[in-house]
Amino acid sequence: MRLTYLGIQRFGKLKEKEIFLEDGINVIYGPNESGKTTIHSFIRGMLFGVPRYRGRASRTDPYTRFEPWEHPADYAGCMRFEVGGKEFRIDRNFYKSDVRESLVCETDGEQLSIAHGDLEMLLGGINESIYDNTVSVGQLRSETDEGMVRELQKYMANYENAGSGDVDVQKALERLKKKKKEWESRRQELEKRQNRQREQLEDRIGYVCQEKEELERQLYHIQEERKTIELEKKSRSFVGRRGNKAGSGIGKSRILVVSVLLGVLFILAEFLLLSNGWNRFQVYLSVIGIVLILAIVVTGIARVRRFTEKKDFTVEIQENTDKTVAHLRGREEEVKQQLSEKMTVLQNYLESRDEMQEKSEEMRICDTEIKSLELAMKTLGELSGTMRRRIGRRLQSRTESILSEITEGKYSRITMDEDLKVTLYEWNRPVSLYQLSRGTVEQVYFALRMAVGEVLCEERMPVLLDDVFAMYDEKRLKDTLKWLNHRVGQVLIFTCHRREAQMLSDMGIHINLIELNDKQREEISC
Amino acid sequence: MRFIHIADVHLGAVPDSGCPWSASREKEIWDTFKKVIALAGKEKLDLLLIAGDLFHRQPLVREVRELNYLFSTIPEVQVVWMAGNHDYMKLDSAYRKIEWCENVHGFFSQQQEEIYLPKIKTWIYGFSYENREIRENLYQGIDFNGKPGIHILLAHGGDEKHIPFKKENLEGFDYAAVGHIHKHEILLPNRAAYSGALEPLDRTDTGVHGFIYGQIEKGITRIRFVPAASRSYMKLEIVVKPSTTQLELEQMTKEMIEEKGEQNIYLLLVKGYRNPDMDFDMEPLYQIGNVVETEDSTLPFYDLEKLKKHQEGTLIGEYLRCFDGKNGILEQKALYYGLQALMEEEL
Repeated sequence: MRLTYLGIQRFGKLKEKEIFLEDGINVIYGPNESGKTTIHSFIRGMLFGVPRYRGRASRTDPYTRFEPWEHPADYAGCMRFEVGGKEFRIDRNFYKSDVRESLVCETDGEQLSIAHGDLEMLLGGINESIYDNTVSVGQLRSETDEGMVRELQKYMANYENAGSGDVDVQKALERLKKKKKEWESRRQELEKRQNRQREQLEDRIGYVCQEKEELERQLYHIQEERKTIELEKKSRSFVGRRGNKAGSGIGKSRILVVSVLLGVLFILAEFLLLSNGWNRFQVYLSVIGIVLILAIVVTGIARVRRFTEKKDFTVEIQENTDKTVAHLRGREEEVKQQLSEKMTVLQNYLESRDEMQEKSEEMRICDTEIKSLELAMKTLGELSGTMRRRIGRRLQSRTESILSEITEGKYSRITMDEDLKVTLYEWNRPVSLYQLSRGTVEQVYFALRMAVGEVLCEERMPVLLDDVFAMYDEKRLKDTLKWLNHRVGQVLIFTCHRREAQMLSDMGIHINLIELNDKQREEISC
Repeated sequence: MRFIHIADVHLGAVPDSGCPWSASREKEIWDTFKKVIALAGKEKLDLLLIAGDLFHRQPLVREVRELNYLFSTIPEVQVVWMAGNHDYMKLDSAYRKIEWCENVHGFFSQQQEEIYLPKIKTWIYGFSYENREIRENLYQGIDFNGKPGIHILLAHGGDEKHIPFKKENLEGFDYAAVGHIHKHEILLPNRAAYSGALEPLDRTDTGVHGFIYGQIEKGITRIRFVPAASRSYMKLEIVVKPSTTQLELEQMTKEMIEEKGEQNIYLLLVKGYRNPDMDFDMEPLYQIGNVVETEDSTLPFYDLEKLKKHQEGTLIGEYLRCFDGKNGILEQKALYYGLQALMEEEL
């Protein structure tokens, strides 16, 4: 990009001023208060507008600073420049109640739109912050050397942000992190839900296990009961056998019956004798015999009855025991079946537990999102690191070569650490910035800014140097001007000294000298 | 001879455990099975073939009794069943513990058997699973008895762990009724088929489910698939535009579910390009119908090629270039996540 013409209608203290600029070195000379910085601000205003703040801040905003003292409606201007072989023209009216802007390609008459980013495109994506850090170079404003170093470092930190294309990587990473958290909490929710289901199943398994144990206990008791009864039965049948042995008493009673029958026969014989005639003795004897027989028969009958009764009872017990055992066996079978059903239920539950997926499809989806977010964060982190390093390396080597040229090779090596702290090497001996003279620090600053412009801007931009060389000695100024002359592109040197112009013409370098005359100053002062 | 071939009924399964419709699904599996039994009776079919996995797990005796009762209601229909890998025939299997009706014939061992049904002059070849897995191809070289009549193979399996047979192994029969794979599929035209699960069991069982109806007359078999399941799992793709809003997405989903049937169970996939400063919330979609799963695969609407050109050399450009030639799902998602974060920051 090359600026060719500035047409100031009214801007700050300047009015109706035309400045024609050339390729190469332009020296804009003027004493203090002649409007050099105003021109500087005019260029910036033409490119990016003049911002207005609201409220209290408006008192010191750039708009107010450059508002013309008279005819504020003429707060306007135009600027011509050349990009890629084509001429463009910007017109702006800054006046607050009549803000207008236009961008025209004068080569082919095409109307372009600043609002739609056409200008930014022409400038190769350079925005205000990059412009301030590259195109426009002012003097380090601090009074003390230490402050100057601080400003240099601050500038480097700003450059770092500008280097990543005005995107705050840290903020983008935080955004990704937040999204990742959202997915993680959703995954946790799903996991909780799944765990609840698993717990329910575990509960059911526990319950079935209890039921199973209960059935096993029942089974054990039934079996025990049956065993005892069977054992008892066994022992009773042993007793019964012994009772049979006692049954030989029945044999005895049989003898008894036989003897009774004999007794009866005996009495019958008595009766037969009786037909032959009675005597008292015979009657008594018969009565005694009958009584005796009756007694014997009664006792015998009683005895037999007692025995048969006892026999009935044993049979009854025996039958009862068999029934109980059969009943118990039936129950045992029943419980066994229940138990086997329970076992199947338990097995089935255990199977479902085993089959329970570790991860549901939903959880897998969450995992994919989380993993891809992690990949995005990793890629972005690495990328911003490598970009910073890459730009850092380019910046370092470019700064080194510029610095070396303008100090006649005295400082040919610099290093920059992670915090972009600069260390210079004077003939291979490290020197801290604090140990250097103010002039040298200015030169480091100058070299850095020139390098940054080259590294960051695709479109080679003009360089605006506003009173940059005040602290330079003759020798270094000469080397710096020589370097600027060799640099391809447009240079605008704003100065209140004549020595730059003088030195350049002494070196036989063609310059476009623009003198801001005192007339302007007189006008202003009156 | 007319028959119905079912398989993979999975009685006792509880699909989508934890979802509101889970309990009804458990019941519907029984209901549809009952309907098929009733249909076989009403249509006076000759044969009902059950090719394994009738129960989801080991059946209980009372469940098998219920089953036997159902079979007893269709005494004219011959029922032949086998146990599959899910309800495999354990030594103490409930299948062995009851007395089956006369019209029911089961395979009770893993040894190949033939069941002859004199009424319909049909031989059924087969066996049951006695294990959860059978890795041998037991359907290779089934002994064919060559006797007159219809010859049917009742089989189950077809993957690596469950009798990895080949289609050729099923050749030579009038029909091979196969189970195990839940999606119905004709293996040999009119000669061998998976009937598929009678009711879908989980979200992977998308598509239509039912049974196979067949007829074998004079050596010619004809079969056709008959849908019978009470509902389906359906994948629904909802395509959004950069102008689509959250509420609009919900409305679109609602309308699509109404159109496809509210009884069905849906797997939602939201795709297309969304507005870059828009993130869809999937949670409300679960309330719209029987939604078992959602996935948001929408991409923020960026013209990547233009961006790459326009942002060349910047961090965004370099970031895009990092993913050149990386087309995996993870990478694509990462690309858009990062891009969105960077672009939002730039705004």
